[in-house]
Amino acid sequence: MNDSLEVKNLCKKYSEFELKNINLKLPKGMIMGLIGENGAGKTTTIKSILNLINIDNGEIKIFGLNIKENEKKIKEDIGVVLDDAFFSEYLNPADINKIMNKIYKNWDENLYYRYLEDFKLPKNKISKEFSSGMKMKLKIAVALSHHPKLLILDEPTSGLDPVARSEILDIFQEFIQNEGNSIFVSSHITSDLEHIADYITFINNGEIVLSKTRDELLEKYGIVKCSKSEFEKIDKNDYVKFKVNRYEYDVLVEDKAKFRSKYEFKIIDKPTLDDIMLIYIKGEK
Amino acid sequence: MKIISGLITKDLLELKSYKKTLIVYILIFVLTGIAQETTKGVGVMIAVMLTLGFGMFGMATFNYDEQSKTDRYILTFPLSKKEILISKYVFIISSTIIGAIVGIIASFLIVFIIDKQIPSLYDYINVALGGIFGVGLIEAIQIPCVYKWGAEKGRIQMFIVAAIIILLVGGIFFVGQKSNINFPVNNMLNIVFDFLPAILILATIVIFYVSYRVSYRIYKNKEE
Repeated sequence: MNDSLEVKNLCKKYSEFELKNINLKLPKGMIMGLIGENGAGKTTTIKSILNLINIDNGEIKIFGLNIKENEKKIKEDIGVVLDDAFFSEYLNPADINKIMNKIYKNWDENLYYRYLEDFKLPKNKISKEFSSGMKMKLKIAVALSHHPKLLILDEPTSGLDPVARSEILDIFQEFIQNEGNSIFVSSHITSDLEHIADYITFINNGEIVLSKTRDELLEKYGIVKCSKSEFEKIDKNDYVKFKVNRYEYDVLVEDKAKFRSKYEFKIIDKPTLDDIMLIYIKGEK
Repeated sequence: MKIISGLITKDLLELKSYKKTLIVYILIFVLTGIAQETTKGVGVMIAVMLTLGFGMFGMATFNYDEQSKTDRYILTFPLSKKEILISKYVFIISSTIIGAIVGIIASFLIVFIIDKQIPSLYDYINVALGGIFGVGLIEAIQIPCVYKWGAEKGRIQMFIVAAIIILLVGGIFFVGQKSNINFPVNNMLNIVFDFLPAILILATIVIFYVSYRVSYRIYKNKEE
């Protein structure tokens, strides 16, 4: 078993939204970032993976096991952070320890208190009095303290300031040092994923638009900046999508080296994930 | 079992913030009870209201779960929906029984202080069992409603469901009277009073069992 997570042909239909044939694979020891605008289907994908909703079609395997048939066994080995769901804010970190001690077979009280100390979280203060960053760190400490092999994180950095975000990304980097560990993380703050993710999966309108390694995306893809007349010379098959700006055209190409060998454009920028996402969503073909 | 105790611990710890409210509640009802005209009224009031109060405090954990979306979060743990449901029922039934025990002790002591004689424990046990049945009936209707519609909406739906049940039972009697069918009410009451404790215990078990089965059917297919 080399994949920590495998999603095959996942479909889920709501009255106004649909996940269409989602396929992805997260190899062991890797971080996969799931990006997409709000409402694109990131949380629904995560809920399906965690078996929180009944999927209409498809199969989800974690550690090579089907989630529906091995839910309890799998969940012993995964740590989950959900953006908007946690324990009551009237509980303090020490209370949470008492609860989790009885929930997980591998709950490591010493590790949990070490995380609290590292994250400077007071153990006897109710989490209602914590800042957003502290609350997120508490969620992460809880998710990490039963020695999970896979972390599933839904928007773990949303609403946080850059310092808190950077600290949280460091925690993930540390977690992944253990080669058997993997992370599946959804975020609409793509710059965070540019730093840590090995794979990027981009979901739009319930469909996977692309799923590639970060290096392939950031190093191979390019954005050609050109005028209208220059754009008209480009063959439709040589670009992914284009976006018309006030003074120029932004044209997303899949292989900038190949493009350069065919055309004589001077400005081909290295894209950010935000650029790619924006042109895919707002661009035309 | 350990996992279920983990969830019960969660509910207990959540109610810590209700500590002061609970003490004030007990005091208010003890004082209201003492203000009753007869000594028996004092005991009944205290026993019933404390059973009701503790039961309702147990139900309050649904509000905490809904506010923080804990119900969704705990589904990411290695436990089944059945275990989550059992833990909730165990917690709410236990809190109601604890309320009844506190109620019996409090009313017994207060009546003893007022009357300067030992009151009939049998009477108070019957009152407490009646309290458990009454509060249990409310809870047994409310819990499936909460799982179906959520803690906030569930409360309104609970009143609607309760009203429908009352109307149905009342309707049957009304139709019976209009059709000159004689319900042997007096005979029935005599039998009920003869076996009151056993009937109350049995009825409470049955309503909670039915409630659990209904809740499970709803919760099993519920998506978070």
